[in-house]
Amino acid sequence: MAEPMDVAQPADTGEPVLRLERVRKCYNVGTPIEVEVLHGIDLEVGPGEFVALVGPSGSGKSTLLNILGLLDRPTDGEVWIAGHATRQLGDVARSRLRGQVLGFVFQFHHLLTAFTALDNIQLPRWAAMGREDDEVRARALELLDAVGMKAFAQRRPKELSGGQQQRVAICRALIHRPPVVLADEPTGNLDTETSAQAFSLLRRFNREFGCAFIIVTHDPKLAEGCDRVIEMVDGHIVQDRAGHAPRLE
Amino acid sequence: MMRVPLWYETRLAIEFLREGRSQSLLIILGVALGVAVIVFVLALISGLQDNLVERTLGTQAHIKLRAPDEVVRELRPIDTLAVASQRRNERAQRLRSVQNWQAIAEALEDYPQITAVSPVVTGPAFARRGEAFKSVAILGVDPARYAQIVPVPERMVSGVFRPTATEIVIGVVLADELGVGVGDRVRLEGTDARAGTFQVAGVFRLGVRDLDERFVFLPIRPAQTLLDLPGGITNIDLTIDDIFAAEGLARELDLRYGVTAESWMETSEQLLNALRSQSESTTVIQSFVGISVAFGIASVLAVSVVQRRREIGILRAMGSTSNQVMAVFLIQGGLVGLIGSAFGSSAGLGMVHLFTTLGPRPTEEALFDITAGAGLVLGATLLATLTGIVSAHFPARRAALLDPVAAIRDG
Repeated sequence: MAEPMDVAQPADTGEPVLRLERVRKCYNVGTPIEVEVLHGIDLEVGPGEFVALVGPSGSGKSTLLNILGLLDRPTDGEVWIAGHATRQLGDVARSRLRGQVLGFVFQFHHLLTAFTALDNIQLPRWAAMGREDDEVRARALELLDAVGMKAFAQRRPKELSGGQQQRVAICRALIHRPPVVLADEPTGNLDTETSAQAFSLLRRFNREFGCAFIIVTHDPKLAEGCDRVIEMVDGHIVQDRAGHAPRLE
Repeated sequence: MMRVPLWYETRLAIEFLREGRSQSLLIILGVALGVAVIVFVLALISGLQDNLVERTLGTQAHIKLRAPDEVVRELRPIDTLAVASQRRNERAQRLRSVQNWQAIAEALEDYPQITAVSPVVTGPAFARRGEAFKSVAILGVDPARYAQIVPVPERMVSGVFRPTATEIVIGVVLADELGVGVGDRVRLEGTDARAGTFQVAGVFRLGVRDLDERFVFLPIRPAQTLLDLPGGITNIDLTIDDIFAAEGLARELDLRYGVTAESWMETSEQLLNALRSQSESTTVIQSFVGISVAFGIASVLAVSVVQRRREIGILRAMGSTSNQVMAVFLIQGGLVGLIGSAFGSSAGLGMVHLFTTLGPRPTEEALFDITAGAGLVLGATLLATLTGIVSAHFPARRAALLDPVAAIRDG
């Protein structure tokens, strides 16, 4: 594997922030129980797009998201993220790229319970920089302020409600202003009202920061609130259409 | 802001340890106990060894050079079968001087590992005082040089260690048996009815009954006269800086100067065996304690890796490399070792202090002195920290190799 590449800045090539070329993913390769869960996916996501990825369970949404997030490798095909071809990258380069051009929001928030809300938000930058930084801290506080949680900066996740934790998780995903944010059912564990609040927060940051969002969801209403809806069935993209939300220029 | 090496990994390690407080405390306590045992046992054994060495080697030279034994020389060709069946009478050894001893003694002064050189003329004699008549060993010495071999001046019961042509220094048992003290006169009878009357200048107690009963110190010249060895000396006594190098050096001197060199290791074989056994048992104890500590740390961290699977997955998703994740757990192991050893060293030193103040005391003096030096504490701390890092290696590697997708999904 090629090891580290300079990913200090995402390549600014004017290309789509995400591009998949004939991506296949198989499990148990070479065994009688080989299963192909993604069948040659081609996909492009432009800067600032707000995309919903929908489909029934087992359609390959999460697998695709993991491949996009460089948490998993495709069996075949190439994944381009912010202009970088990722197939040949080794662990260090993938980790760096992940930490600098991707943001993650998970269904169960997944905050580190040993750290305060403020520290949780700074963690991706700490990992990349290897040190504390005043600017990062100030930005984390700004984000907390933006989601109405500045007063909770020193609280630990156990002292926060589910909705509050999800807001912190969203701030964490945006601390480094990544060109792409991947969200795996970000509202799946929230009640209707909190879910709506979290979604509008994602939408707001998408508009303010211009990050592309790819949101895996089972919620049709939420999907229709996106600019673009991609539907997957059995490892194929069966539909790629505009959502009902007005697209922003 | 300056980049501190491993700041991020250390921060995570500390927070993880702090969060799993009771688990961390338990393993730190385990390490502390292990280190306390190691510090105490090592201090005890080294105190015991120092005591043994001091008591035994404090009254003798580390190496003695003497003239080679006289041997029977065969004057006819050796018939091996005949020799095997013959009984040969070994030659009786007379008192002889080391050949060319002045030059040898001078050359020995140049050896960096030799800390003291003292020519000695020694042989049997009788001490007489009135009706009392005792067999003694005369030691003709240069008092200043001999004091560097055996610190007799520090062991004086009365008088001074300053033998002269008319004054001698004798052991406390001999003084009692002859019924003499400082200022009294004793007649010494040496070889071939050579005799002289000397005044007692001092009485010493070396703590070894045989020596306190038999040793009589004189200057070299009168001793040579009494033993009929004009200008000669029977031994060159040496002390060296590393007592365990004595045997090697003795063999070297043997070959170089054509003398018989005997090290304390040869003459006090039992002491050497005792020291070796003690060292070996210490190593065994240390190893077992070390292994227990290592397993303790490894098992706690292995559990921690399982408990933190999801968090490891999240860290990986947020851009932490597998090496960073591995470092987090290695640092945890090192920290547990370091903190545990800090407490353990303190506890070990406390135990040493308790032992020396409240331990067994047959007399007013402590049984023997034990001290735990900075080197021992530093060594134990370093060893425990390294053990922590090494034993964390397996769980750390497991953490680093975790599949982030599975870790996040399954927790």
